[in-house]
Amino acid sequence: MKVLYLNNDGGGFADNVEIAEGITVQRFFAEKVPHGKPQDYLIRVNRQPAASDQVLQDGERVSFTPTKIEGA
Amino acid sequence: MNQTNKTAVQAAVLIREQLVAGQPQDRPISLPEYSWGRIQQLQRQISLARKHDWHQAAARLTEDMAGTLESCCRQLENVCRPLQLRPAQRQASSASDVYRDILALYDEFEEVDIDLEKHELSVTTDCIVLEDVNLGAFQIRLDWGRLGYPQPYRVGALDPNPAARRDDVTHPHVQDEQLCEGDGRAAIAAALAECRLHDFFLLVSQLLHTYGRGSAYVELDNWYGITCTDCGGTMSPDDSYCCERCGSELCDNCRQLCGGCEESHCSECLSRCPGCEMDFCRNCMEVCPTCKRNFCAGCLDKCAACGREFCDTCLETCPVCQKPFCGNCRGEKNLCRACHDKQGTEEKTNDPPQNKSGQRPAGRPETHRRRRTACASA
Repeated sequence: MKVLYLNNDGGGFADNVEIAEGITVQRFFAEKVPHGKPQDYLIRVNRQPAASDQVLQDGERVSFTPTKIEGA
Repeated sequence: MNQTNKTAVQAAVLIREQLVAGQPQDRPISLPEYSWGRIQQLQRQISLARKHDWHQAAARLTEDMAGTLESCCRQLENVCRPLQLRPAQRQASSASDVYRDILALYDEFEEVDIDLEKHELSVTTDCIVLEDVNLGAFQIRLDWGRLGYPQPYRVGALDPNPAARRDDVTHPHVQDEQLCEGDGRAAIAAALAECRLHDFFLLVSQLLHTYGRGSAYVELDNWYGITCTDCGGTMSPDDSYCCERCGSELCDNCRQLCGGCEESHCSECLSRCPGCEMDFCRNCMEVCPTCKRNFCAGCLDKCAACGREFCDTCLETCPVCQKPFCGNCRGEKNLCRACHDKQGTEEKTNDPPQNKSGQRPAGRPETHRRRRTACASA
């Protein structure tokens, strides 16, 4: 199974990644952003807010956008 | 399909065409220069705080440094990852992706507007309040005709509450409707390059909802103007001065220049020299060791014997050598020790020896012997 993973932290990153079947949003976040806290990010699945226990499906679009981004 | 969706479809097609027409073959590599610059700034501030034993400030700055380093490391990882991908693996949004992005914006923002004639796609944020300063709602306007150019979007305040005397600054990080992207620069550039419009507008919105203390055009502490410490009046940050000693903010009327170093000071940090009656800061004054009053360098003079500096009142001129001496270095009749000793030696040499009866030789005046007795007793 694959999802389009978009990480808008830092330099921005978009790629199709393999996921295990049945993996939840929370688990996927913990794997991809091990040092981050979910409450510090806007987490969207297919551009919609997602619950932490939502199970990801093949072909979905998952994005993580930091809530705190400092301007200069 | 309703009218909104039709407009969204048209916009998506136009945007996709613009993206393809202007897409560079290779996306520039955006390094986290802003974060690195901030790390270097924090390092300098920590060194300064430690040098002055400002332990609390040093601890707080060290915490900031740890957070910024962590953020910089994450940004570097995200810059590195796409470089490891083959070009074919990089994502470019299709027209349907752009269409879905536009529709999703209606769920994220208060308002979404599409102007096909002006090539503008804009969203309206909610009311932004940062540290109790209500900045109102903002409109983020993307000109898709300028995709591929730097900052093809503007950020306008819908109900402006600009900084005091700075109408062009409607948000700590927005000047003349241009957002200073800071930490978000690389991610915004990536989102625009790949036409991920939903991500782009979310990023800009989160930037507007975040206050970066220490890196704003106008800090929120000074949003309504700076208060002069001396007179209590309000002034804009650009019109303020800083006391060189205590750091307090001063207006142009209240700032005073030290007569020595000519730096700006508040009234509390200047003292009047009793000699010349001009005002000087602490660094430009010295204490007279005798009378313990503070004088400027110009009103102190060196004792010709010990070399220490005294005020004019505490120095006396030796009537013989005409040099200034402090109280410790002069003796009777205000003679300096050297002249006093020399005079004593000369008198001993000139005085003739006495006979056993103590009678003086003939011809020697009485006054001469009286003077020698006086010198001996001195």
